[in-house]
Amino acid sequence: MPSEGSGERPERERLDEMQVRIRDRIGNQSLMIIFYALLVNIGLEGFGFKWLPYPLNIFIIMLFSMGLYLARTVWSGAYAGPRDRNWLRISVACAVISAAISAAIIYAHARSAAHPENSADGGGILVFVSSLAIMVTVLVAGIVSRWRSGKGE
Amino acid sequence: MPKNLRLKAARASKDMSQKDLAESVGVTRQTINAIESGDYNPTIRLCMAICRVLGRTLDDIFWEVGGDA
Repeated sequence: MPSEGSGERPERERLDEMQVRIRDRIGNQSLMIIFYALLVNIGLEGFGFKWLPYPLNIFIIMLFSMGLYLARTVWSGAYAGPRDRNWLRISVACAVISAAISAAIIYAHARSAAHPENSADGGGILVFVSSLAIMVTVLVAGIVSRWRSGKGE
Repeated sequence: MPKNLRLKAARASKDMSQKDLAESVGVTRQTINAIESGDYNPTIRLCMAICRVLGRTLDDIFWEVGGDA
């Protein structure tokens, strides 16, 4: 149903009303999860227990919360909307960016192997690898969500 | 929420699948399935869109009479 004059943001207009409601619910729950996880992290550090060094601990918490949000959104069929017309373009863009990131990772790895004195702490690789994982996840998530939202009689 | 059997019957009388109805009103098939199963309470805008496509009134499809929806 067209959402003329609804005042909704464009990215939400491609989803139907049930998908928006599902996303809102999952998003609120994810926010609470990330809040409590960060709180527990601070508490553990206060007691002298360091489960992972900073910033890896924050990164893991963020990745876990985001992964949970994405997985639940996809499983609920609320990731790709019925009015997604740009799906092919998004898929191609993700594939191209994934290939570029892969090439960058391989190049960086080969370079650090050749010149170990110039290698950094691995933070750059972490960002590259997570970017690649996100791109691949976006592709898979779209496919699974479209399959889930099409289920019915 | 009880199942909306009247929606299902109205859709069947028009010889439409859930997918056909979903595409006509611009939602996913999952949403139509959830409405028929009683798992989702649609907005008045979606109810009106469904009624327009099926050629019925809101009363015909969505008005609850003694718990029957």
